[in-house]
Amino acid sequence: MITTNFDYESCIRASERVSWKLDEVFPANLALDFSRRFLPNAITGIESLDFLGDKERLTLNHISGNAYLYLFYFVEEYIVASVVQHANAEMFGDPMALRALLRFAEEEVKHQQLFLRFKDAFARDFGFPCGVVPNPQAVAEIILSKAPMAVALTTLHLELVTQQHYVEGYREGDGALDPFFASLLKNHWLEESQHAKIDALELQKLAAVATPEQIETAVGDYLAILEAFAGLLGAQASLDVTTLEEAVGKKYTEEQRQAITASQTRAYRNTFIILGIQNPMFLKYLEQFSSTGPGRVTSQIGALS
Amino acid sequence: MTAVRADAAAGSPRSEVQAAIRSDVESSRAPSSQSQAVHYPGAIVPFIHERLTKALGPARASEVMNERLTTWRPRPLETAQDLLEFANHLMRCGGLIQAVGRSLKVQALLRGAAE
Repeated sequence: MITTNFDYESCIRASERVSWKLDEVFPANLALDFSRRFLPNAITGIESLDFLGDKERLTLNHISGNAYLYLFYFVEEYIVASVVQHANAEMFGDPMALRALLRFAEEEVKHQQLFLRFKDAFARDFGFPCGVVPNPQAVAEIILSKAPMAVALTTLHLELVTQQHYVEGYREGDGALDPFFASLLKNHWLEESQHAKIDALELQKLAAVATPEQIETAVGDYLAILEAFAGLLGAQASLDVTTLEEAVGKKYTEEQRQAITASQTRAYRNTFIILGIQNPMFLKYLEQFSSTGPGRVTSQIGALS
Repeated sequence: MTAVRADAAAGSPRSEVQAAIRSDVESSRAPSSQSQAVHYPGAIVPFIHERLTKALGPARASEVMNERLTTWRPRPLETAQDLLEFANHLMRCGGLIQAVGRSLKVQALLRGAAE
């Protein structure tokens, strides 16, 4: 059984305190500033590519930043569908849970609109087409075909990592990152931190009635989702190399292309997958309904890196 | 309190699902003084009745519940799978009852029932 020190009502109150408006966070037609890095070094890994010059590193950081926000847009496609399902299950049930879940869904759609606004601004101001993995709907369909507990676990995982991403940016100090991009990391995290709590409460309800077999299946399905996601992140990394070549007007050798792809793949997987698996809150919740879950999940870190 | 009696034996092996749903019912129970008795075996009967009560009011909820149970196969309502099947049974009514049925169906699917 999962224990928590919050409930749906406290999540709503916190959500109301931190909520923001799309146009305030990202005014329409805002021009992006490409003079500073978007993402912290700790979550890009670009520094290890010593054959890249400073300008190339900065450009690759911008490409990674665009992909980072797009990948959240991408996964939020399934999260919206999943949370609306959970809200539907609370119709004529607990009004606090219903309200918290509806806010959650509305905020996720708002995040998607924020990230699409960024994608459009990036396409307009970057000057070169920037490849991103297609068809979030198909991926949402695959994820939602898995056990509902596995879907809830994946959502919890993704919500929790946003805090780590924000903290990494904060650690680099004022002025290191583009302030606008840093504000996006912060605002995303502010609302996702409430969503993570609601995820934990939903998971608590599902775990309370799950059989040991259902829990085993859920952990297995969660790992299968991560494996599929790892493949998707590798595909994004390959697209990044092509975008970089076009943006800097240079063809890299096959060896260099492979090095960039490997570095980008490792960085994305660390950012979206490994940080989540290793997140202490995630492991704490998982252990509360599956004593073998944390060991089973962390044993896959090598394979998913 | 709604007048619903679950006739399932306490402490049965299926009690984990039942207990969780029962506690959900207890925490969200709405006051009512006009409902008819609903006697049917199964620990999730009060849960379903409660959802119908919130949507339709106590008198109509009991009426719908009793009417639907008379056309339900003679089997206790115990598991998430039972909940799914009864939700489909409710959905055939249309209107607000269909909305309750749809919500219960999603509830069942999230708890591991399969279509």
